[in-house]
Amino acid sequence: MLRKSALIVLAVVLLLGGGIYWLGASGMVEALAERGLTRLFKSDVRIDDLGVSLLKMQGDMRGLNIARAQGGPPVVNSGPAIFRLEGMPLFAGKLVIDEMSLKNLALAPKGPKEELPDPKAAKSAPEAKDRQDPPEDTTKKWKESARTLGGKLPAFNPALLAGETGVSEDLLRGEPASLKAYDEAARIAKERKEGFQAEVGKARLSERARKLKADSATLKTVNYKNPKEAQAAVATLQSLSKDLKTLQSDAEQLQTQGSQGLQEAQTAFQTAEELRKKDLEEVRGLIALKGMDKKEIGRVLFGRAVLSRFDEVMGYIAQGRSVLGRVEQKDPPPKRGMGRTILFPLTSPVLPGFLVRKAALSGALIGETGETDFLYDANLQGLTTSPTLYGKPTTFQANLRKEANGKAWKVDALMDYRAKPLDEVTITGTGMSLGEVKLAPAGKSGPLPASFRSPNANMTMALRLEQDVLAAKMRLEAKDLVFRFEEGEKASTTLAKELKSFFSGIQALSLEASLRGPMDHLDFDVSTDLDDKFSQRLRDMAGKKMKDAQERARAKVHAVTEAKRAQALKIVNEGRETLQKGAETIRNEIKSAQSELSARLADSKTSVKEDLKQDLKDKAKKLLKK
Amino acid sequence: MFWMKIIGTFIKVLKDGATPNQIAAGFTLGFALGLIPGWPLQAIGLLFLIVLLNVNISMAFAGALLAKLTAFLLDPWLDSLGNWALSLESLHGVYTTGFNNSFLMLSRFNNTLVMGAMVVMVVLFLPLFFGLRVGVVAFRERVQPWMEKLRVVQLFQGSKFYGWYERVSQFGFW
Repeated sequence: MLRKSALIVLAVVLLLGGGIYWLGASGMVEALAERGLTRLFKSDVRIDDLGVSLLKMQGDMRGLNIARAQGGPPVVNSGPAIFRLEGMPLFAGKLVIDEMSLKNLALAPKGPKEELPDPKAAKSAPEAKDRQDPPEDTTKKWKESARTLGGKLPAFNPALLAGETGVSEDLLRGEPASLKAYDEAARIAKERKEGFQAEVGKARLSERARKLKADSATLKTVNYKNPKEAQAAVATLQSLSKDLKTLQSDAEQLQTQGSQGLQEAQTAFQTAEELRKKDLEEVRGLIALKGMDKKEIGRVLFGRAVLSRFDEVMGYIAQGRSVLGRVEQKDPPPKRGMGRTILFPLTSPVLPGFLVRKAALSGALIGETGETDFLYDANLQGLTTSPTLYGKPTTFQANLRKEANGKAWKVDALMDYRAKPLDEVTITGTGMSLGEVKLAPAGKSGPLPASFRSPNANMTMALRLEQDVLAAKMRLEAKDLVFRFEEGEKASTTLAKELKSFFSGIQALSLEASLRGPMDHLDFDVSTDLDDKFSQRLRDMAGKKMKDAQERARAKVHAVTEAKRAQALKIVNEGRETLQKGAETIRNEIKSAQSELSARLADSKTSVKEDLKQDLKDKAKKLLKK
Repeated sequence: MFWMKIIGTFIKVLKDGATPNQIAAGFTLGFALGLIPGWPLQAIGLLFLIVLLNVNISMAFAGALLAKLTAFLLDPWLDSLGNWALSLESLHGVYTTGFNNSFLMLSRFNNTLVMGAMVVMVVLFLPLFFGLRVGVVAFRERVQPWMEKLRVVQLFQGSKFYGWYERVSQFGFW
């Protein structure tokens, strides 16, 4: 009885279990597919219907919907998808799809349009901080580099011209560096002169010299025969000699100070003179306009357009890296009390949790406005959540076409994230339409008042990004060019008029661009078949204008600095004269006092000598009498 | 009442419900099932064997229950034993093959507790089976007659409660 019951229960359990498994295989595969795709795309993935035949190991799927993490239109598959499964990995909870055919897959790779940010706008805009960049440093570095890769724009306003030629903006605004230097020299000269005069007044050198002279003169009436009087006179003379020495020392010290001050003023003036020469040399630099070099022309005119194309591809690469190039998660450690799991060597390659070995995709590419942009057929190999485990890179080939006009694109991409991330993309476009390409230097937003369209262009772009080192090339052949020129303030500049005149007759353009180096030191080069012509045209145009500008600038420098120079020179000279005159006066007065004192000393010596002589005579006479 | 039914059935089986082979095989298979943690592939296989072979299911249930109750005490020892077994160089090739097979990995053989339990059962299966068979025969020949002579048993079998249990059990409510 019990056995029968157990057998019935077991049969029911087996039937139910088998049935659930059989029926649930679809659900299991659907769950694995959704989980794998969610891990891949980091966004919500929904599959409306999925059926699996475990006997044939085949399945079909409808209604795949992958939301975009950054918003925008989702990736939608409205058509049927047929796939072939591997059975064994299902035991380990892994989904390995050998082959897949997915039709009517609507892709919206562009998402919301994002312009290359303008450097100034990027710094000032408050939303710049909140902007969600893709997680990779590479993308951030690329954005930073793209901002600073600008070609330099020749123009005729002081600020841009300054940037172009190395001439300081101050100079062109009428504030040459020498102007301040002359002011400085004048200030020093004035200060030193006043300082000298103040010191002279403070030291009372003239007064002291005159007093010395007067004191010396009083000794004229001394009776040296009177010993007491003679002794007092000698003492006075000694004191006066000492005063004279002090006076001479003070005078010398003041003169040295004055000379030093004068020297400082003269040095400052000399510096100003040198700066003036430099200012004039800078003005001469106007003749050599570096921005008119033909190497710069391509970057100046087409830089931004070219960078935008590179930026678009770099955006796809960033998406690829954020999706496929993540760090793989390790299994959590086993729980306590559940034993230990021992690992053994893997003799066969371990399959990742989600793998699509090969998928044939077809459908439409949705444009920024939501309508069908291109139809495509594509092959995808090695789409997996763990490239390291799978051991092969993901590859993608696509052919895109516009049925209306036969325009076509071909894309070949390789995404290898097993070790160092490596991306290689080659894009070839034929008969494509270039819509509204603005002429603008790289990293700057359209200061040139012109743009062009080409309904018939061929483009090849090859881009290789290994870790952060980029090597990219682009070649563009555009025909039937139509230029459009803006009206208004921008269009009235000399350069704008010249652009209009030059490009009006141009119908074809051949452009080559290269971008290479580490992401923070990118070397950007753009050359076109128009560079020579345009450069020559600009030189012809700019030659006279530049000379005029140079003359005007030189005249301005002369006019502005000359007055200051004269003023400074006058003050310096005045200081010199004051010093010389003051020193001369003092010198004369001291000399006069010195003469007077010397005379008194001579008197005293003579008197003393005569007195001694007379005294000796008297003594001799007395002796003879005796 | 449930436990009484279990004990009753157990005693009844031991007495004359099944052959010693059926009892021993049921208990041994049940014990093996209970000793293995979780439901790996081999546990499901054991369950199939219990149901499909002509073994005593009550004894299998009893064996599984006993193994589950004692497994907590045996876990550290089983873990060490499993670790030792998985570290055997001579079997490294076999383990490696199994490790690389998704189906065999459903057996969770590389878990130390599972491997420990497997080793224990491989070693103890036959001794346990033969030991139990001998035990059952011995029980029937020696212990059962002795037990039936016990005053306590006679009193219990003569009680109204036992009579009521005998009547009710005939209806098969439990």
